[in-house]
Amino acid sequence: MSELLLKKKENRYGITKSLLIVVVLVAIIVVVAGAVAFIMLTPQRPAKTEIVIGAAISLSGANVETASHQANAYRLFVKQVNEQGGIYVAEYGKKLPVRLVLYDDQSDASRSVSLFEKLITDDKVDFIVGPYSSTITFAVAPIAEKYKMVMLTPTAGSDKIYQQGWRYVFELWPLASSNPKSVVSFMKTRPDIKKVAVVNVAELLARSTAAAMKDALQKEGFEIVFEEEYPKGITDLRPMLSRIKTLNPDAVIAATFFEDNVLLVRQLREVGFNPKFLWTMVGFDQPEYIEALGKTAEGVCGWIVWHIKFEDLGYPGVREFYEAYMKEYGKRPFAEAATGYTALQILKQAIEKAGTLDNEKIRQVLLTEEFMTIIGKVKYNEQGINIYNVVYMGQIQNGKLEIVWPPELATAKIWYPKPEWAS
Amino acid sequence: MLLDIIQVLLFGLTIGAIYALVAVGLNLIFGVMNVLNVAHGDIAMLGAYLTYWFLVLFNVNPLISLLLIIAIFIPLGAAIYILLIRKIIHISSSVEEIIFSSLIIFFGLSIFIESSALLAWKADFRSIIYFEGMINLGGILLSEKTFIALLVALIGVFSFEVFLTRTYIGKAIRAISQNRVAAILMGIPVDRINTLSFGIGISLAGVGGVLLALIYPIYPALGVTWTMRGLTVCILGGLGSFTGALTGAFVMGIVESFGSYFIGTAWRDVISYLMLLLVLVLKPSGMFGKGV
Repeated sequence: MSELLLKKKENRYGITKSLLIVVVLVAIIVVVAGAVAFIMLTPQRPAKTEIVIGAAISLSGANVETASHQANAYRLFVKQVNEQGGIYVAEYGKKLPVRLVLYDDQSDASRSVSLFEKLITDDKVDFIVGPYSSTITFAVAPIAEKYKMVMLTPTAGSDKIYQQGWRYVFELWPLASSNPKSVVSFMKTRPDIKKVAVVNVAELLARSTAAAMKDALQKEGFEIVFEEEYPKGITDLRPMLSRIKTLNPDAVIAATFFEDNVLLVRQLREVGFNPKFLWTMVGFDQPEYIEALGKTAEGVCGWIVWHIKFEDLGYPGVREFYEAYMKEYGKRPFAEAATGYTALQILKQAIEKAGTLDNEKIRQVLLTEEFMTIIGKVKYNEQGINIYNVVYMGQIQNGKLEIVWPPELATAKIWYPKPEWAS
Repeated sequence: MLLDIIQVLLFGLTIGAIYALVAVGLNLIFGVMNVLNVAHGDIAMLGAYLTYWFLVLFNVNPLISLLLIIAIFIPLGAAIYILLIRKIIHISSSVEEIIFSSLIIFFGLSIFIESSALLAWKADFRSIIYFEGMINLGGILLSEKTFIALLVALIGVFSFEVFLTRTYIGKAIRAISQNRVAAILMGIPVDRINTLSFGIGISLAGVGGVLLALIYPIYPALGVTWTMRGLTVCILGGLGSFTGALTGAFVMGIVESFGSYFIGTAWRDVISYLMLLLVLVLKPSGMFGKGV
């Protein structure tokens, strides 16, 4: 009895030793679990160590010749930025290096679409940049919209893309509809140009350009005496060019791609027709063009999207880009390289201005700020169209490309009418 | 008007001659071995690059390159046959099996050649400037390079025809494509003839490449267009038939030219494939095909 009383006295609070242990253990578990849950559930900013930019581009297949320049430019820009320590992001208070994820879409639009979806959902890239060509960009743009990812598109000049009400797509390549501006403004200064033939290759950009040309020319009172589209991979243009010869137009406007551009000029000479004014499109401003045509190229006019001549227009970084590209890849950059490089120049400036990697905020910056690049000034309207977009017209003179129009930005006076074909 | 028609006919003949050169090699290989060489255009692309490099590096006249390319491509073709095709022909139990297996192999070879060319020579366009003169035949114009291409294609195709009909090996080749089993029973060394036929077929593609280099810019993906043209011409004329390939090529060239001139270039493919469909409906084996 006294023993029992004694025991009770020792446990003043009426708690047995085993119960005490259980209580203490439970308390520890609750505290630890709570702490773990607190850490896990608290929204915490993961330590950001890099900015990941992704794209699918045509590294093989039909588009590879030109698309590879765009891919090279992406790689070059990322390399240069990382050599400078990366891009400064205010929200992290430091420079972050950039990692580029590039996939090969094999020049196939549907493949490109699934690769972009993979980049966003699987690889969880911070930003995407555009694929190659209007056709593929048109297919991929809905993905950018779906995931609300900003997409600067270096080589998509078809107007159709920017008429869809898409909010995250921003163009860099001269729009097909802006192409006629310089050409038609030149033609208006020559009263002896009345009849015009307009032809194009069956490609989205060429088709839109030809349509825009015809539209602008008709508005200005020119007579379109011949219009035709020819298939991609055309093996012979002489029958079509002979038809044009019989109609004897003053000017021939050809919305071409590279291979058919060379074929068209060679075969115009072959059928013996020399229009007073001959304008061609893709290929004209590429270094290989003069190598392909030699003396036959003399006096041929065409568009210039980007050229080393732009350094004479005072745009910063033109020469540096040209030389860095030459050094890195051992060849001269195509316009596709310049616009590809520009896309990342703008993205970098936008990130720095926004101080964040948030695509929505970057979009706001793109819509409000102005950017200086190697293709000149860039400022976007609500449609994602660069309001400063100018299409220059060039002419091959004495084996060199000269900017001949608009006159205030010309490096040489235009030869008109076009000299006879070299014999 | 008459002058126009003659001019357009000439366009058709000149482009048809190039089609013929590509198609005849393709059809020879199919006729003898039932092998569909879908890498034919890519082989032609290799020929075009070789012409380019011979000219740029050693200043070799493309017509000399042409002879060099024949000398290089016959062993190349023989090697492709021995390494890739011979086994398939030996283990296959039916013609369909040979066609199917070879299609896969050549599809792979086509991608292999194109990708290697891309790695070796980059994706840039290259062109040669040669035979730039113009020929004026009483108001009918022709560039020197087209004239030379026409000449080379005609000489190539007709010397091949003489080879097929006048020599023992040529006769053996024809015998095999007419009746393989009988040819074996008659003691024709089928394997050796196969190897040689392959070499000749591939060298014809190489010669085609020389002509392409004269007329078009050169780039690694060039082959597809010419494989497609070659196959279309062969199916039109009749797979496996020499006369078929020749007729198909000129018919295709001339129909394309007149279609382009009188109806419109946009209709070129519609017209030529409509013609192909019509021929296939009327005669499923093609114009000169040996029954399916």
